Amino acid sequence: MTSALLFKEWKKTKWFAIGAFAVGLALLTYIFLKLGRSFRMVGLEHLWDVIVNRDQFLFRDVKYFPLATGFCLALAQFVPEMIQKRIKLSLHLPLSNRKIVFSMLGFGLLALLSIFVLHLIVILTFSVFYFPMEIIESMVYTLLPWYVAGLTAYAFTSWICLEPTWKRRIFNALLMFASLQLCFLSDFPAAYSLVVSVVLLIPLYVLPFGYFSVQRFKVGIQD
Amino acid sequence: MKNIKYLIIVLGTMILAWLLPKSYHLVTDKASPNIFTYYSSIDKAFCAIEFDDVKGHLIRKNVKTNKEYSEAEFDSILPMFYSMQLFSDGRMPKSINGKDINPRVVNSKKFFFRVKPADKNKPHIPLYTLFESMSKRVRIEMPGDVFRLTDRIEFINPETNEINEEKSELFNKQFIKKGFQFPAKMAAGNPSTRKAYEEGYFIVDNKDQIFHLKMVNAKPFLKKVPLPDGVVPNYLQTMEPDDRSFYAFVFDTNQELHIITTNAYSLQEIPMPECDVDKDQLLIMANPLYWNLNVVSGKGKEVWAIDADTKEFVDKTSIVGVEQGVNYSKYFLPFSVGFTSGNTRYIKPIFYFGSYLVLLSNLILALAFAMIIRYRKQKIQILPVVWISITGIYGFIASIIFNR
Repeated sequence: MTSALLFKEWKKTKWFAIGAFAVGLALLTYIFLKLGRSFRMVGLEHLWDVIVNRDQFLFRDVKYFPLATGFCLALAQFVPEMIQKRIKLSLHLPLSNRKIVFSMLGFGLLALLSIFVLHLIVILTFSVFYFPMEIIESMVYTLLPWYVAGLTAYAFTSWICLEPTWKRRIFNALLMFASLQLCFLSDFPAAYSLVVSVVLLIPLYVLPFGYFSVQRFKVGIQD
Repeated sequence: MKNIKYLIIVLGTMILAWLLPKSYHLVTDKASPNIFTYYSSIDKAFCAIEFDDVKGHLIRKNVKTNKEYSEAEFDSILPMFYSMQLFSDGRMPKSINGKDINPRVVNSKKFFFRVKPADKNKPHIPLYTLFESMSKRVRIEMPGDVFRLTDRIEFINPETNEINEEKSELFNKQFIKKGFQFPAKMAAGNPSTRKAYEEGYFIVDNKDQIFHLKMVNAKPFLKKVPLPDGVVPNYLQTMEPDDRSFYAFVFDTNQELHIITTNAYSLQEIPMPECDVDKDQLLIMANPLYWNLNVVSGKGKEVWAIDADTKEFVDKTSIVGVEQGVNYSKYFLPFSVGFTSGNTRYIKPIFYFGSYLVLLSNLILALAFAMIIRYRKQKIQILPVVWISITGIYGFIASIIFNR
């Protein structure tokens, strides 16, 4: 039953997931081409100098891509469920509601995580050829909060979609905007290095919120 | 189910504890006046430029006598600060305090040096560019490699991203020979080609010893700096003054300031106002006669003048920070959470706690919450009431919104 549920989620989101991955790859290709041009024009020594001594970050264009992906994936997955309250059908499956909701949320989170991990692998593979470990480490600390923002946006947007009342959706959205700011407090490279392990926990903290809204839906709270 | 509700309330509370005080400060904060203050070698007193609220314009005055000056008079009172203007007008005295004054002397002894807490407390990539100190070229040129300090010194070629083993070995031998203890705690240098000359790096090793590293004719130059007893370096910043009288500023763990002089690397103490390099800003405005040391802290600005030659204390003045008015927030905001600070480039949670008086308003809010719950005909829940008693207005708003 769980695999059938996951298949349903895959059917709903596959084109979006493939599209998001492709758009991400296109974005990275653009960044790599831009960097390749800089390598040829000014040389790697100058680029290293700019990164190390002038605190520049080469992958700044990636900043809002994970956020947009997380937000859109949640919409693609849960808006169809909420149109004409189709989620009722899913909740009537012979599985506990908890298992149903967490399977759906877990699927989305894993799909998103797979896209992001593949992107990070591509970035790191490119980077190890041109940069030493010190620069790569700083790069990872700078990128991680942006990718975590994508996962957090997914968890929050799912919660907002699954919420049965509009009034509460507005409060949920306000909480989402404020919380997401936590991942964009500074553009300074590796600014999050002291708290990165805590930042990684934010999406896991928010993910169960969707189940709370489903329970509110189940007990009949509505506009 | 209930646990998830509490997770939402806790998150809502924390977000409010961050954003509500931030909004309050956005509305109520006042700028502290950073009044320009400089020691006059003519008046032998501090002079300042400040805004006169009554007259509605800037006034230039002697801080001790309160005598006011016109703009042109003020140039003459502070000849070292306005030296360019005085040389251009032909108004610069030939000598001051028995010291010959000419453009060469002024330019070689005049410098500005600023240290902000965020200069020290920021993430940095531990790769360093070591320029050739005796390049025989007018301009400093990029060396074609950078070095890292791990359990040895390694030079890496950026074009190939490979280690230059030969050069690394050459330098490493020198480090071992001089007794350098890896790993290094910090390295201070100025990796810029826009400077008059190159003096390399001052590196603090694992045993708090300072070493001077230079590259001279492509060969390593490493010299240990003799430190007086009790001086443990906390932060170093190098400088290339035109008169080549010193290499670097050393802040030690006792919050004292020293310079590493070019006279056999001897350390000279620089008297300065109380300054915590992690919290306060230091600005040194030096001239051939006096060094002005400005320390800007939460309390205001403290300015000392010291003799440029002997580094002996001469005079001091202070400017008290602006009264922020009554901080009403302490009566209704029990605490606040911040993630950024002017003192650091790192993101990290910082908690500020309010007055104990806020516990009273917390209890009133907890009571109000209990009454609202009764009015909503919900069951009284102990946890949210306790939570509001601790977190006050933040917990109250979060519980009212997300309790159902």
